[in-house]
Amino acid sequence: MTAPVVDAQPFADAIKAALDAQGIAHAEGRKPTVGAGLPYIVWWLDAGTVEDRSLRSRDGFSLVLVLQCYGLSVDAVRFVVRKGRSAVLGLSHAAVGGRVLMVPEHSPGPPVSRDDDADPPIWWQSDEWRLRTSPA
Amino acid sequence: MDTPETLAAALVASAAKVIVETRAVVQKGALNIKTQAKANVAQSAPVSGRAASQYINYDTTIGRTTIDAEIGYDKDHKAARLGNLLEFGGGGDHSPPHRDLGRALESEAPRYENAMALMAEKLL
Repeated sequence: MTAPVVDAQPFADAIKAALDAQGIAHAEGRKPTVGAGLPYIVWWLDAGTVEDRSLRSRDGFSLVLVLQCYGLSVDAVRFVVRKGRSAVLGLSHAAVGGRVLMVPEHSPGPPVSRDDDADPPIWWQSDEWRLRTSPA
Repeated sequence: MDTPETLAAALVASAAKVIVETRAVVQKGALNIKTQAKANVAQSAPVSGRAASQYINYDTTIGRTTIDAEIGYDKDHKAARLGNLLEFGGGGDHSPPHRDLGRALESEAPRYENAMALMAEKLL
């Protein structure tokens, strides 16, 4: 029996829609078009990992999502992180691409950082999530 | 067949060994993660960042009821100071996350769980 290959694209589309719904500027893998000084998210989604979820081998599938949350102050970064988390947690139990998303798992990340090479200096924090799925 | 007395004696003997044995499993797991993370950095980092892999280290701590291993970049070394950028990405240039340590941890997790289960079986 050949295990079906899960497509990561519907999950990327679902994340995009969830972030849109939060009203925060965002783009995958690049800085979004955004007004000067406004906060935004740059997000990265891998192509997923095929896992042995059960004795039916290779039917597990999970993805890692990293939200890089940017702002001109620590407060702005906290605001963006909260928006991003709301979007991700809102995907719990959503049916996507023929599978169901479980409650996303949060990974401990680094503290907020500042890049003084940018003009003006910019603050950011990465927020990492694992999105596990099960067959619908 | 165990009597309550022999079972109690076996548990006491196991308790004496469990710290040493667990520490060995934790340290081996940490070493495997460190080795894999270095290999990941060598594959994923730009040439200018590859020296950071030399400064991935681990420390183990034994508490009253816990044994911890902390694996990461030793930021006392200049080459490792950008380790957080290699791992999580970000910064003013919006660089991608490489997750070199995270991926190494995920690879090791099933082996670690198996080693802990075997150790528990052996001690009991």
